[in-house]
Amino acid sequence: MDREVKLTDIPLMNPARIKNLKISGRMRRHLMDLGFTPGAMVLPLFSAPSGSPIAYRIRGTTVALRRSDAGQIGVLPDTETRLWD
Amino acid sequence: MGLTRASSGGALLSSPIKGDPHYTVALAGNPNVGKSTVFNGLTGLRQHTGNWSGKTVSAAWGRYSYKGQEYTLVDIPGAYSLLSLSAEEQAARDYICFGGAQVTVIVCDATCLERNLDLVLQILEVTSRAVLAVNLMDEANLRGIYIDTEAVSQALRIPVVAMDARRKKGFDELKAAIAGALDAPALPKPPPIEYSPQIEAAVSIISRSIGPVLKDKLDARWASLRLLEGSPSLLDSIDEYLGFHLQAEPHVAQAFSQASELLRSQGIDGLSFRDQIVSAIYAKAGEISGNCVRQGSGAKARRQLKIDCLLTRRSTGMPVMLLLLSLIFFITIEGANFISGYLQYGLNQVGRWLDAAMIGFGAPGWLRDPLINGVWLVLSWVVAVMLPPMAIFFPLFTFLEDLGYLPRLAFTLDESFRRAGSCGKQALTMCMGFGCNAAGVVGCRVISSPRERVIAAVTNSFVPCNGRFPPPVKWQIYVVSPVSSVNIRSIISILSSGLRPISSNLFLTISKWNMLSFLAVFRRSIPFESAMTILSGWFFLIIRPPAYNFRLFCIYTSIYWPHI
Repeated sequence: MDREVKLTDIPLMNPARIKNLKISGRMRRHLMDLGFTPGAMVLPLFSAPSGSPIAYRIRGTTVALRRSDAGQIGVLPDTETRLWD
Repeated sequence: MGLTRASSGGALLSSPIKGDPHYTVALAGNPNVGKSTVFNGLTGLRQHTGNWSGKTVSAAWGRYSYKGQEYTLVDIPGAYSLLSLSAEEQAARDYICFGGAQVTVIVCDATCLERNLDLVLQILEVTSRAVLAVNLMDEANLRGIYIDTEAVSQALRIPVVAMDARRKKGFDELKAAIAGALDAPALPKPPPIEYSPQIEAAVSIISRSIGPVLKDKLDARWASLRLLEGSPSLLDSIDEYLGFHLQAEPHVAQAFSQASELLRSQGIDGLSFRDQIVSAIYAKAGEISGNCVRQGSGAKARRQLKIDCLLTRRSTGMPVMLLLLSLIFFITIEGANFISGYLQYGLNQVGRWLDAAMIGFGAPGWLRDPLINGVWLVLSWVVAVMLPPMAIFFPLFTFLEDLGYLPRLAFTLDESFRRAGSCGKQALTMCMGFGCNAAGVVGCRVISSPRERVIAAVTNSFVPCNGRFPPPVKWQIYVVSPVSSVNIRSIISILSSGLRPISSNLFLTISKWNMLSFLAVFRRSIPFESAMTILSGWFFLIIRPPAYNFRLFCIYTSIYWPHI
């Protein structure tokens, strides 16, 4: 079993599974509505020139999050899943 | 300023369509799934549609008839969820839950059905009279995604129609499905989602006592879940709809405290309750999509990703962005100067004829002078200078929008804007400001944070719209204009430092590239329509400023104050 890391620590094009969201309130609601729920697969696709925001593939859509927000999502690196869901 | 509920479609509930003798059909769906295209296809009404999340902020309605029956179609603002907090999503939620539409059509994007099923399942908790329209089917097939609509229909227990609204496919089937859903007898259906046993137990406690109070106005199970969830804005809407305070009813209050006690004893608090609800909905969505959707190799997705990586890298992305924007300015300015010259010549000629005609009729100088040298000259000047650049700039901008470049632009520039206390979406409203500041200010509604929306709206007047470019336009403007849009961030810094600092977030949905829309831009009448709207706005402003919509007056004043 891998150790939990921040979503921002996952290199691009490496899938991970969401463990928990260390955010509360409005931001948490919105993230969950966009599909960032515990157990969901997430794949960092590409980032802006300055490293923030980062585009993530989540449940078949692409959503960009700022580094500071994505850093509050705890994930488990997933090495078994195929790159394209 | 800020989007009030009234301006974002909250006024829908009190709209004249209530009590309409026709059938009312609500059109719901996530943002950017082609909902507006479906709406236009059904009603023939031209509503602006675009490849940018959150275009439909205010709702539109139109009519269509099928087999002799008239239907009123209400286009609800796009929403990701009914449990959300943004003004548009609340308006959408209130209409879906309390609007009284006989049928709800839910439009989905076939290329990401799983994400869309989240909203579908939430709507099905409210109403079982729904039709699912799976849009962009051709696009999904191109990507190697195949959806078994039969199986989806069985899993959700509602009719499912596969369609491709842009290619006018599936409209007859959709109309038939809507009519069929209206004719079908209302059978009690099992709830679409099963929650954990603890939540189900708490829900059954409340729904037993809530049923008689609701008198079939709302689904008892749904209302119980919402009571437990405790979202203040939704509970207010429920109370407003019912006409009494639901939680104050003695039976309900008793059952509610009993149920919350039960949940607390199981270790479920408000936060984890909502988490469990959302997770259960997504688990169900994942299950249905797993059973009914077959994914292909993803070759096209990989190709699209390559383009994205190229366009967002520092070494290639920035030059491409500057080149693209400079090219648009070049085409706009060179093309507009060309047309403007001819237009001005022609209109001046007409002015001379009019002058000659007035002299011929023996009109006195005090009448001739203000009419020809005043009204006609100003009118022809405005038309000749303003119309050509707008008629060129907006189709080009629409092309970038349809292509899907705009979210990438916002993505690339977000960090710069964030440092100034704003967000990347402002880059788009500023680009629109180069075409026309009024359009730029109106475009600010795509920015979700009220504070950032105000900053974007106020600073838009610093962007020189093409009517304010210096008359002898030199080549420098092609280079300076795109760069200055980034430099304006210093002005934003000053402004935002005066406003309350709020930690801001960015949720930018990056839409798919859409190469097929090239021709579609020219078929649409947007440039003409928007130019006419803006021109007519000016005329109203000149003729009767105080009588015209006060808010519009404020917007226009804020745009032009640097001139005054």
